[in-house]
Amino acid sequence: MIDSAPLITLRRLFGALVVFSTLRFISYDWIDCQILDPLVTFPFEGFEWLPRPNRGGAYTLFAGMLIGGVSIMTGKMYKAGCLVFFLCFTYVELLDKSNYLNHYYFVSLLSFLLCFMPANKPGFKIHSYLLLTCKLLIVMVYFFAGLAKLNGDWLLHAQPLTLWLPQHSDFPLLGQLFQYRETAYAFSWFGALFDLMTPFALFSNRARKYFYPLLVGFHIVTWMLFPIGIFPWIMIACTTVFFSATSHRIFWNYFKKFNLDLPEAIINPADLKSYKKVLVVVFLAIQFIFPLRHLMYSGNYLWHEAGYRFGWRVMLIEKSGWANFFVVHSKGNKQEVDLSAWLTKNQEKMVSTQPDMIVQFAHHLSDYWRDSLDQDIEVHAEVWVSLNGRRSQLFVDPNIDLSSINNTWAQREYVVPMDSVILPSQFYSLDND
Amino acid sequence: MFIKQIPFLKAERLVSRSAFNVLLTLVISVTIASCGTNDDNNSSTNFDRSELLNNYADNIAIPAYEEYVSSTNNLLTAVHEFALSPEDNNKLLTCIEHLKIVSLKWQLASLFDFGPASDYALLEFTNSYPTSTDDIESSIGDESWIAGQASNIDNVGLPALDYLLNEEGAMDKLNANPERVEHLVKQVEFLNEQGELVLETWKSSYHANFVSMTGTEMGSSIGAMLNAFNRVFEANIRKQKLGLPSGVSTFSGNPLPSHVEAKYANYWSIDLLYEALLSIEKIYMGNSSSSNFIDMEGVGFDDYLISLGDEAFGQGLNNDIVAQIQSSKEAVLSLNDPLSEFVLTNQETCIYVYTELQALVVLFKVDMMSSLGVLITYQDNDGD
Repeated sequence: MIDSAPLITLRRLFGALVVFSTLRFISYDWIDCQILDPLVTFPFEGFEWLPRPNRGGAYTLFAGMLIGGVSIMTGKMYKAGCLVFFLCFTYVELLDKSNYLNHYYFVSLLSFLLCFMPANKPGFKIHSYLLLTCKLLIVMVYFFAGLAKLNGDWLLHAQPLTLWLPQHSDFPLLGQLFQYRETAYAFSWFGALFDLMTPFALFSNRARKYFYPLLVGFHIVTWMLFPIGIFPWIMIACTTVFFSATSHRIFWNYFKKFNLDLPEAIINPADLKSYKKVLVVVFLAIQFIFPLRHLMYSGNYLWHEAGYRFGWRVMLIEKSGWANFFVVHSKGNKQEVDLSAWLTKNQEKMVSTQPDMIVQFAHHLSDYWRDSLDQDIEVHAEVWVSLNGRRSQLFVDPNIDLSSINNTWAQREYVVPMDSVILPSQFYSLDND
Repeated sequence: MFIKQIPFLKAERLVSRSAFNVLLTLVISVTIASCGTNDDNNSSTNFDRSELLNNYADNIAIPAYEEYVSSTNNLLTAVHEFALSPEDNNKLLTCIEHLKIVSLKWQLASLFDFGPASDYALLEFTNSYPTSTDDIESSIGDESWIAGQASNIDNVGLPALDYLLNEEGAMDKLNANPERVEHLVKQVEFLNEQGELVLETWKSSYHANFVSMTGTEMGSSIGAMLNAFNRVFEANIRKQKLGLPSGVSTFSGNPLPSHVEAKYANYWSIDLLYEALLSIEKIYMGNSSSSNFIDMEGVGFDDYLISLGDEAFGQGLNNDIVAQIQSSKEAVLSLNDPLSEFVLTNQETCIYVYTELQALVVLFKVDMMSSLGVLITYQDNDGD
């Protein structure tokens, strides 16, 4: 049995941040750009059945997020609000892969977890395993992010930071150092070490108070350097859950209206039902195993990205690509597809580098030609991708009918293994022989 | 109650001590790192982006617009003179000569399709083709017709002038119909005015703006420039000038001779394509034309890549780009005007040249963009 104060802080800060994030999303006009404007979408496999919202539907979903967020923040109608937020938010995330962000996934998971947490009223005692579950979810983000950095590109070539840092030569204080390759190495190694260290430092009673300011500094630097949205603030807020209940009470005492000093109201919770324990273990086990699924696949997963999403790979790759899709008619004629007529700029960027989206887009094309034009076609693509400072290489097999492939858990055989094909000029001259 | 702040003070002390630790860690790690390998000169990527931007603004963009506008001024003069004596065939020929010069000068200017140019939709209004001859015919004599409406995009600009001046029997039609001449003048006035507006905006306000945004994120000058450069090269040069006429985007795979640029003149489409490639080269190299027609070397994207060091994504990429520009230019020289006939008789050659341009698009759009670390982001992005 422990005091629920850390959980209440988590709920308040998380609620405030998701409300802010939702308002920010709306004010940037992203409801139109990301949800309503696209002609075609790239839903996650297994969720293709989710209906695409119209304008009214989208506004309803975002109203749900706002109301749910406010309810999380204030604790009023907390569990219902949390559930509403989780459902609306996750619904929107499932609609289109091109908008996927690691921290959106984290927000979904945490809001799901909070639905089961007695985090609404101060002065309660809670089972310590509940708090531990939250803590484990949080440190997994760091742990897997750190683990993912233990690869040759990151450690041996300091990529992608070698490409990114020199562009920030106007950064306060450190800017001049960013032009040196050594700085990228220092940042890479420090970043990997930091991520791997964070779980232990946060759990350690001795190290925590020294480590937390470092963590805040780290996140603020990443926020200043990279366009990663509210991710740093979410992590800064959530990691406060590791501090003792007393620290939380002291903190909230500075804000008289929000203080948690209600010692007379302490109530012990009912005994724990064993099925709940099982559920918690299952949830955590899934969270631990799911990010490791890339181990099932051979080849470089930074390249083929099988098992890449939902694995806390944050700022790990600089990947740019150019995709040229061809509709191949029965007579053998090739017709180039104008991507900008089909996709938003952001979708175009994502489709150009992510194999499963290339396949999905091929299906969109073949569906359109079959349903609207009554033509059976094949879809081929010539895609060039550059990863972490490597020269561009052919990404998917240009001779395969991509619309005949389905996205499954299987190895992505249609992706050309990294480092096997060569410069565009060579490819084209081969093609012409 | 404010007296009782001991925990706060303690916390504050903790914070400042730990903040000191953060700083110490950073300083130490950076010092260690920068002392590590001093002998490696290639590791420093000290590149002055503001020098690059100044070169682009002062020596390339503004001069390109100046030359373009001076050519449209000359065209306007020629058209005015023709309007005074529409029976004079020589005056028509002068107009046509000037139209060709305008079209050539346009190629370099068209690559700066951001900032003022995109505010005035210069590219769309100047060179959208095939032009709608029906719309042009119906607007002749229409007093209420005003150039510059969104609906005019496919019946104004160079392609419309190409039609009015170069179509079969243009001389007779113009001579017979004063309203047709009047429309021609209106069209050239509009073309000229648009160029002047963009040039003026660059000179009066945008220049300062452009050279000050030295970052590389979306919306910075380098980001905007590269974005426009890649887009115009991919869509307006590779695809429109050659791909569409060669039939790469058609349902049947058949060539579309009517989609060539300047199809009524019908003997300078390849010149325009070649000029566009020279313009691409000029911008990539940061070179500017001096008064004696010799390119002057300036700080360009080539120097930016070279500054990244002796790496595949630095110097190595620059070498490949230079070589690919060269072979693209040579390939274009294997085409012959009139392109509208050549695509029919030599479609394979056209498609071969098209793939040469395509290889260049990959080098620019994929390799160069990632080497320069220009993060193209349209929304938040945490790495995927």
